[in-house]
Amino acid sequence: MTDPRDLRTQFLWVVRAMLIAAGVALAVGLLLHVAGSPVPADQVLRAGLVILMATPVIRTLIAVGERLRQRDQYYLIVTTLVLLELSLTFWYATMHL
Amino acid sequence: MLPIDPAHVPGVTIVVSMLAGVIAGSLGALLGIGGGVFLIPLLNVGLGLPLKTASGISLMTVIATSNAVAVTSESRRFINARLGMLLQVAAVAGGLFGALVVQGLSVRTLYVILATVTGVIAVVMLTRLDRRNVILDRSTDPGVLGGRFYEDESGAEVVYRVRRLPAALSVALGSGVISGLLGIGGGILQVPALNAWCGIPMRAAASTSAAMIGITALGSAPIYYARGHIIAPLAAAAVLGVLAGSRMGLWYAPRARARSLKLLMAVVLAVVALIYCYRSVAA
Repeated sequence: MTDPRDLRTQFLWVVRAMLIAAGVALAVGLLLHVAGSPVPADQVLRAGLVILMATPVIRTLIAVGERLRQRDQYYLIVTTLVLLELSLTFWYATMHL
Repeated sequence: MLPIDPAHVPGVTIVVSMLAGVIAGSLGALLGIGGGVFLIPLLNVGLGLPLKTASGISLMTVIATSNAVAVTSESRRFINARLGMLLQVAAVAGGLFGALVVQGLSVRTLYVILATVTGVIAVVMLTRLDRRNVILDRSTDPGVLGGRFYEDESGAEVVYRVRRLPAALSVALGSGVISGLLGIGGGILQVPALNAWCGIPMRAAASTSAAMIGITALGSAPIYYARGHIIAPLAAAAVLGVLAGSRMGLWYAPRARARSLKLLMAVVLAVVALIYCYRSVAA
Protein backbone atom coordinates (compact mmCIF):
# COMPACT_ATOMS: atom_id res chain seq x y z
CA MET A 1 0.00 0.00 0.00
CA THR A 2 1.29 3.48 -0.73
CA ASP A 3 1.64 5.93 2.16
CA PRO A 4 1.46 9.50 0.91
CA ARG A 5 3.37 10.98 3.84
CA ASP A 6 6.55 8.96 3.56
CA LEU A 7 10.12 9.91 2.75
CA ARG A 8 9.53 9.33 -0.92
CA THR A 9 7.17 12.29 -1.10
CA GLN A 10 9.64 14.59 0.62
CA PHE A 11 12.42 13.66 -1.76
CA LEU A 12 10.40 13.64 -4.96
CA TRP A 13 11.82 17.05 -5.71
CA VAL A 14 15.22 15.35 -6.18
CA VAL A 15 13.82 13.13 -8.92
CA ARG A 16 11.96 16.05 -10.46
CA ALA A 17 15.15 18.12 -10.46
CA MET A 18 17.08 15.32 -12.15
CA LEU A 19 14.43 14.96 -14.82
CA ILE A 20 14.54 18.71 -15.47
CA ALA A 21 18.35 18.67 -15.57
CA ALA A 22 18.33 15.78 -18.02
CA GLY A 23 15.71 17.50 -20.15
CA VAL A 24 17.65 20.76 -20.21
CA ALA A 25 20.91 18.97 -21.10
CA LEU A 26 19.19 17.04 -23.90
CA ALA A 27 17.53 20.18 -25.25
CA VAL A 28 20.74 22.23 -25.12
CA GLY A 29 22.74 19.39 -26.67
CA LEU A 30 20.17 19.02 -29.42
CA LEU A 31 20.32 22.74 -30.21
CA LEU A 32 24.13 22.62 -30.27
CA HIS A 33 23.99 19.68 -32.68
CA VAL A 34 21.56 21.38 -35.01
CA ALA A 35 23.60 24.60 -34.81
CA GLY A 36 26.55 22.67 -36.20
CA SER A 37 28.93 21.96 -33.34
CA PRO A 38 28.61 18.20 -32.91
CA VAL A 39 31.49 17.65 -30.49
CA PRO A 40 30.35 19.80 -27.56
CA ALA A 41 26.79 18.77 -28.47
CA ASP A 42 27.73 15.14 -28.06
CA GLN A 43 29.19 15.71 -24.61
CA VAL A 44 26.16 17.64 -23.39
CA LEU A 45 23.81 15.04 -24.88
CA ARG A 46 25.67 12.20 -23.24
CA ALA A 47 25.57 14.02 -19.93
CA GLY A 48 21.80 14.30 -20.32
CA LEU A 49 21.44 10.60 -21.11
CA VAL A 50 23.58 9.66 -18.11
CA ILE A 51 21.47 11.83 -15.78
CA LEU A 52 18.37 10.21 -17.24
CA MET A 53 19.76 6.75 -16.56
CA ALA A 54 20.74 7.74 -13.03
CA THR A 55 17.19 8.79 -12.12
CA PRO A 56 15.76 5.29 -11.52
CA VAL A 57 18.80 4.52 -9.35
CA ILE A 58 18.07 7.57 -7.19
CA ARG A 59 14.41 6.56 -6.97
CA THR A 60 15.41 3.10 -5.79
CA LEU A 61 17.88 4.54 -3.27
CA ILE A 62 15.09 6.71 -1.90
CA ALA A 63 12.92 3.60 -1.61
CA VAL A 64 15.70 1.89 0.36
CA GLY A 65 16.12 4.91 2.63
CA GLU A 66 12.41 5.10 3.28
CA ARG A 67 12.16 1.44 4.22
CA LEU A 68 15.26 1.72 6.43
CA ARG A 69 13.43 4.37 8.40
CA GLN A 70 10.32 2.21 8.70
CA ARG A 71 12.43 -0.84 9.59
CA ASP A 72 10.64 -2.73 6.86
CA GLN A 73 12.97 -5.69 6.42
CA TYR A 74 11.10 -7.42 3.62
CA TYR A 75 11.14 -4.31 1.51
CA LEU A 76 14.75 -3.48 2.40
CA ILE A 77 15.89 -6.85 1.08
CA VAL A 78 13.83 -6.45 -2.08
CA THR A 79 15.11 -3.00 -3.01
CA THR A 80 18.70 -3.93 -2.16
CA LEU A 81 18.42 -6.90 -4.52
CA VAL A 82 17.24 -4.60 -7.29
CA LEU A 83 20.15 -2.22 -6.65
CA LEU A 84 22.62 -5.12 -6.79
CA GLU A 85 21.20 -6.21 -10.15
CA LEU A 86 21.42 -2.66 -11.49
CA SER A 87 25.06 -2.41 -10.42
CA LEU A 88 25.74 -5.61 -12.38
CA THR A 89 24.37 -3.91 -15.48
CA PHE A 90 26.42 -0.77 -14.90
CA TRP A 91 29.54 -2.83 -14.28
CA TYR A 92 29.06 -4.77 -17.52
CA ALA A 93 28.38 -1.57 -19.45
CA THR A 94 31.47 0.11 -18.06
CA MET A 95 33.58 -2.86 -19.11
CA HIS A 96 32.32 -2.58 -22.68
CA LEU A 97 32.34 1.17 -23.29
CA MET B 1 17.69 1.72 -44.26
CA LEU B 2 19.36 5.10 -44.36
CA PRO B 3 22.84 5.20 -42.81
CA ILE B 4 22.96 8.05 -40.34
CA ASP B 5 26.18 9.80 -39.40
CA PRO B 6 25.80 10.43 -35.68
CA ALA B 7 27.79 13.65 -35.94
CA HIS B 8 25.49 15.16 -38.55
CA VAL B 9 21.95 13.95 -38.10
CA PRO B 10 19.57 15.65 -40.57
CA GLY B 11 17.17 18.14 -39.00
CA VAL B 12 14.21 16.36 -40.56
CA THR B 13 15.19 13.11 -38.87
CA ILE B 14 15.42 14.90 -35.55
CA VAL B 15 12.00 16.49 -35.96
CA VAL B 16 10.39 13.21 -36.99
CA SER B 17 12.00 11.47 -34.00
CA MET B 18 10.59 14.12 -31.71
CA LEU B 19 7.10 13.79 -33.22
CA ALA B 20 7.32 10.02 -32.90
CA GLY B 21 8.19 10.60 -29.27
CA VAL B 22 5.17 12.84 -28.70
CA ILE B 23 2.84 10.23 -30.19
CA ALA B 24 4.45 7.36 -28.32
CA GLY B 25 4.58 9.32 -25.07
CA SER B 26 0.96 10.36 -25.05
CA LEU B 27 -0.35 6.93 -26.02
CA GLY B 28 2.00 5.30 -23.55
CA ALA B 29 1.12 7.49 -20.60
CA LEU B 30 -2.58 7.17 -21.42
CA LEU B 31 -2.33 3.38 -21.30
CA GLY B 32 0.10 3.24 -18.40
CA ILE B 33 2.91 1.75 -20.46
CA GLY B 34 6.25 3.14 -21.61
CA GLY B 35 5.23 3.85 -25.18
CA GLY B 36 8.22 1.96 -26.55
CA VAL B 37 5.91 -0.42 -28.36
CA PHE B 38 4.67 2.54 -30.40
CA LEU B 39 8.00 4.31 -30.75
CA ILE B 40 9.95 1.34 -32.10
CA PRO B 41 7.76 0.79 -35.20
CA LEU B 42 7.75 4.53 -35.83
CA LEU B 43 11.55 4.74 -35.69
CA ASN B 44 12.32 1.35 -37.24
CA VAL B 45 9.70 1.21 -39.99
CA GLY B 46 8.96 4.92 -40.37
CA LEU B 47 12.47 6.37 -40.15
CA GLY B 48 14.43 3.31 -41.23
CA LEU B 49 16.61 3.16 -38.14
CA PRO B 50 18.15 -0.24 -37.33
CA LEU B 51 16.06 -2.16 -34.83
CA LYS B 52 18.70 -2.14 -32.07
CA THR B 53 19.07 1.62 -32.41
CA ALA B 54 15.30 2.03 -32.19
CA SER B 55 15.34 -0.29 -29.19
CA GLY B 56 18.10 1.65 -27.44
CA ILE B 57 16.36 4.98 -28.02
CA SER B 58 13.10 3.46 -26.86
CA LEU B 59 14.68 2.28 -23.61
CA MET B 60 15.74 5.87 -22.92
CA THR B 61 12.21 7.11 -23.49
CA VAL B 62 10.83 4.36 -21.24
CA ILE B 63 13.10 5.60 -18.45
CA ALA B 64 11.87 9.14 -19.08
CA THR B 65 8.12 8.33 -19.06
CA SER B 66 8.42 5.99 -16.12
CA ASN B 67 10.01 8.72 -14.01
CA ALA B 68 7.39 11.22 -15.15
CA VAL B 69 4.62 8.90 -13.96
CA ALA B 70 6.36 8.20 -10.66
CA VAL B 71 6.54 11.89 -9.75
CA THR B 72 3.05 12.89 -10.86
CA SER B 73 0.53 13.12 -8.05
CA GLU B 74 -2.37 12.06 -10.27
CA SER B 75 -0.98 8.55 -10.76
CA ARG B 76 0.84 8.03 -7.50
CA ARG B 77 -2.18 7.01 -5.47
CA PHE B 78 -2.58 3.95 -7.69
CA ILE B 79 1.05 2.87 -7.53
CA ASN B 80 1.65 -0.23 -5.43
CA ALA B 81 5.30 0.20 -4.54
CA ARG B 82 5.67 -2.97 -2.47
CA LEU B 83 4.45 -5.17 -5.29
CA GLY B 84 6.22 -3.16 -7.96
CA MET B 85 9.64 -3.33 -6.35
CA LEU B 86 9.28 -7.06 -5.71
CA LEU B 87 8.46 -7.64 -9.36
CA GLN B 88 11.49 -5.57 -10.33
CA VAL B 89 13.80 -8.16 -8.76
CA ALA B 90 12.65 -10.49 -11.52
CA ALA B 91 12.23 -7.86 -14.22
CA VAL B 92 15.68 -6.24 -13.94
CA ALA B 93 17.31 -9.69 -14.00
CA GLY B 94 15.35 -10.36 -17.18
CA GLY B 95 16.36 -7.03 -18.69
CA LEU B 96 20.04 -7.66 -18.08
CA PHE B 97 19.74 -11.13 -19.59
CA GLY B 98 17.85 -9.83 -22.63
CA ALA B 99 20.38 -7.09 -23.33
CA LEU B 100 23.23 -9.60 -23.16
CA VAL B 101 21.49 -12.10 -25.43
CA VAL B 102 20.20 -9.67 -28.06
CA GLN B 103 23.58 -9.33 -29.75
CA GLY B 104 23.46 -12.95 -30.80
CA LEU B 105 19.96 -12.88 -32.31
CA SER B 106 19.08 -12.11 -35.93
CA VAL B 107 16.81 -9.19 -36.77
CA ARG B 108 14.22 -11.55 -38.22
CA THR B 109 14.13 -13.46 -34.91
CA LEU B 110 13.51 -10.20 -33.09
CA TYR B 111 10.72 -9.30 -35.54
CA VAL B 112 9.07 -12.66 -34.90
CA ILE B 113 9.34 -12.21 -31.14
CA LEU B 114 7.89 -8.72 -31.36
CA ALA B 115 4.99 -9.85 -33.58
CA THR B 116 4.20 -12.86 -31.39
CA VAL B 117 4.32 -11.03 -28.10
CA THR B 118 2.08 -8.17 -29.20
CA GLY B 119 -0.34 -10.44 -31.03
CA VAL B 120 -0.84 -12.73 -28.05
CA ILE B 121 -1.48 -9.88 -25.67
CA ALA B 122 -3.93 -8.23 -28.06
CA VAL B 123 -5.98 -11.42 -28.16
CA VAL B 124 -5.89 -11.88 -24.40
CA MET B 125 -6.98 -8.30 -23.79
CA LEU B 126 -9.85 -8.48 -26.24
CA THR B 127 -11.26 -11.56 -24.55
CA ARG B 128 -11.19 -9.94 -21.11
CA LEU B 129 -12.57 -6.48 -21.74
CA ASP B 130 -15.34 -6.50 -19.17
CA ARG B 131 -13.82 -8.22 -16.15
CA ARG B 132 -13.38 -6.05 -13.11
CA ASN B 133 -11.18 -6.86 -10.15
CA VAL B 134 -12.22 -4.40 -7.48
CA ILE B 135 -13.72 -5.52 -4.17
CA LEU B 136 -16.18 -2.90 -3.01
CA ASP B 137 -16.17 -3.90 0.68
CA ARG B 138 -13.73 -1.42 2.23
CA SER B 139 -13.07 -3.52 5.29
CA THR B 140 -11.40 -6.22 3.21
CA ASP B 141 -7.77 -6.70 4.14
CA PRO B 142 -5.68 -6.27 1.01
CA GLY B 143 -2.94 -8.47 2.43
CA VAL B 144 0.80 -7.83 2.33
CA LEU B 145 0.93 -6.86 -1.30
CA GLY B 146 -2.55 -5.66 -2.15
CA GLY B 147 -3.73 -2.10 -2.15
CA ARG B 148 -6.56 0.36 -1.90
CA PHE B 149 -7.36 3.57 -3.70
CA TYR B 150 -10.21 5.97 -4.29
CA GLU B 151 -11.93 5.36 -7.59
CA ASP B 152 -13.97 7.94 -9.46
CA GLU B 153 -16.19 5.44 -11.25
CA SER B 154 -17.80 3.78 -8.25
CA GLY B 155 -17.33 6.88 -6.08
CA ALA B 156 -15.72 4.97 -3.23
CA GLU B 157 -12.47 3.56 -1.99
CA VAL B 158 -11.76 0.13 -3.48
CA VAL B 159 -9.56 -2.67 -2.21
CA TYR B 160 -7.77 -5.45 -4.01
CA ARG B 161 -5.65 -8.46 -3.14
CA VAL B 162 -2.80 -9.87 -5.18
CA ARG B 163 -3.35 -13.42 -6.36
CA ARG B 164 -0.96 -15.90 -7.99
CA LEU B 165 2.24 -14.10 -7.03
CA PRO B 166 4.47 -16.72 -8.74
CA ALA B 167 2.64 -15.98 -11.96
CA ALA B 168 3.21 -12.24 -11.47
CA LEU B 169 6.92 -12.84 -10.88
CA SER B 170 7.20 -15.05 -13.97
CA VAL B 171 5.48 -12.41 -16.06
CA ALA B 172 7.84 -9.78 -14.64
CA LEU B 173 10.85 -11.91 -15.52
CA GLY B 174 9.54 -12.58 -19.01
CA SER B 175 8.65 -8.97 -19.65
CA GLY B 176 12.12 -7.98 -18.41
CA VAL B 177 13.72 -10.30 -20.94
CA ILE B 178 11.50 -8.91 -23.71
CA SER B 179 12.41 -5.41 -22.57
CA GLY B 180 16.09 -6.21 -22.91
CA LEU B 181 15.60 -7.90 -26.27
CA LEU B 182 13.29 -5.40 -27.94
CA GLY B 183 13.63 -2.16 -26.02
CA ILE B 184 9.99 -1.93 -24.97
CA GLY B 185 9.12 -1.16 -21.39
CA GLY B 186 7.54 -4.49 -20.74
CA GLY B 187 4.45 -2.88 -19.30
CA ILE B 188 2.60 -4.06 -22.36
CA LEU B 189 2.98 -7.60 -21.03
CA GLN B 190 2.74 -6.94 -17.33
CA VAL B 191 -0.41 -4.83 -17.24
CA PRO B 192 -2.76 -7.32 -18.94
CA ALA B 193 -1.28 -10.23 -16.99
CA LEU B 194 -1.48 -8.48 -13.62
CA ASN B 195 -5.01 -7.41 -14.42
CA ALA B 196 -6.23 -10.73 -15.83
CA TRP B 197 -4.36 -13.29 -13.72
CA CYS B 198 -3.35 -11.61 -10.48
CA GLY B 199 -6.46 -9.76 -9.43
CA ILE B 200 -5.05 -6.25 -9.75
CA PRO B 201 -7.42 -3.51 -10.97
CA MET B 202 -6.53 -1.90 -14.26
CA ARG B 203 -5.47 1.49 -12.90
CA ALA B 204 -3.28 0.03 -10.16
CA ALA B 205 -1.69 -2.38 -12.63
CA ALA B 206 -1.13 0.39 -15.17
CA SER B 207 0.27 2.95 -12.74
CA THR B 208 2.46 0.48 -10.84
CA SER B 209 3.84 -0.91 -14.07
CA ALA B 210 4.41 2.53 -15.57
CA ALA B 211 6.35 3.64 -12.50
CA MET B 212 8.46 0.49 -12.47
CA ILE B 213 9.41 -0.09 -16.10
CA GLY B 214 11.97 2.70 -15.91
CA ILE B 215 13.87 0.52 -13.48
CA THR B 216 13.46 -2.51 -15.74
CA ALA B 217 14.71 -0.51 -18.72
CA LEU B 218 17.72 0.48 -16.67
CA GLY B 219 18.64 -3.19 -16.54
CA SER B 220 19.42 -3.04 -20.23
CA ALA B 221 19.78 0.62 -21.32
CA PRO B 222 23.41 1.05 -20.15
CA ILE B 223 24.40 -1.98 -22.24
CA TYR B 224 22.78 -0.56 -25.39
CA TYR B 225 24.50 2.74 -24.59
CA ALA B 226 27.90 1.11 -24.09
CA ARG B 227 27.58 -0.84 -27.33
CA GLY B 228 26.94 2.34 -29.29
CA HIS B 229 23.40 1.55 -30.43
CA ILE B 230 22.01 4.85 -29.22
CA ILE B 231 22.33 7.85 -31.57
CA ALA B 232 22.46 10.65 -29.01
CA PRO B 233 20.70 13.49 -30.92
CA LEU B 234 17.81 11.20 -31.91
CA ALA B 235 17.55 9.81 -28.41
CA ALA B 236 17.40 13.39 -27.11
CA ALA B 237 14.68 14.33 -29.62
CA ALA B 238 12.65 11.22 -28.85
CA VAL B 239 12.98 11.66 -25.07
CA LEU B 240 11.93 15.31 -25.21
CA GLY B 241 9.00 14.38 -27.44
CA VAL B 242 7.99 11.59 -25.11
CA LEU B 243 8.18 13.81 -22.02
CA ALA B 244 5.90 16.33 -23.71
CA GLY B 245 3.55 13.64 -24.96
CA SER B 246 3.38 11.86 -21.63
CA ARG B 247 2.25 15.05 -19.86
CA MET B 248 -0.70 15.16 -22.22
CA GLY B 249 -1.44 11.50 -21.72
CA LEU B 250 -1.16 11.69 -17.93
CA TRP B 251 -3.60 14.57 -17.79
CA TYR B 252 -6.22 12.56 -19.62
CA ALA B 253 -5.62 9.10 -18.11
CA PRO B 254 -7.64 9.38 -14.86
CA ARG B 255 -10.56 10.68 -16.86
CA ALA B 256 -10.66 7.67 -19.18
CA ARG B 257 -12.80 4.61 -18.55
CA ALA B 258 -11.02 1.35 -17.75
CA ARG B 259 -12.79 -0.53 -20.55
CA SER B 260 -11.78 2.07 -23.14
CA LEU B 261 -8.16 1.81 -22.00
CA LYS B 262 -8.17 -1.95 -22.46
CA LEU B 263 -9.80 -1.75 -25.88
CA LEU B 264 -7.35 0.89 -27.11
CA MET B 265 -4.40 -1.17 -25.92
CA ALA B 266 -5.69 -4.30 -27.66
CA VAL B 267 -6.29 -2.58 -30.99
CA VAL B 268 -2.89 -0.88 -31.03
CA LEU B 269 -1.13 -4.13 -30.17
CA ALA B 270 -2.92 -5.97 -32.97
CA VAL B 271 -1.75 -3.38 -35.48
CA VAL B 272 1.87 -3.56 -34.28
CA ALA B 273 1.73 -7.38 -34.45
CA LEU B 274 0.55 -7.30 -38.05
CA ILE B 275 3.28 -4.86 -39.02
CA TYR B 276 5.99 -7.11 -37.66
CA CYS B 277 4.45 -10.28 -39.02
CA TYR B 278 4.79 -8.73 -42.41
CA ARG B 279 8.35 -7.56 -41.74
CA SER B 280 9.55 -10.92 -40.45
CA VAL B 281 8.37 -12.52 -43.68
CA ALA B 282 9.55 -9.73 -45.97
CA ALA B 283 13.01 -9.34 -44.39
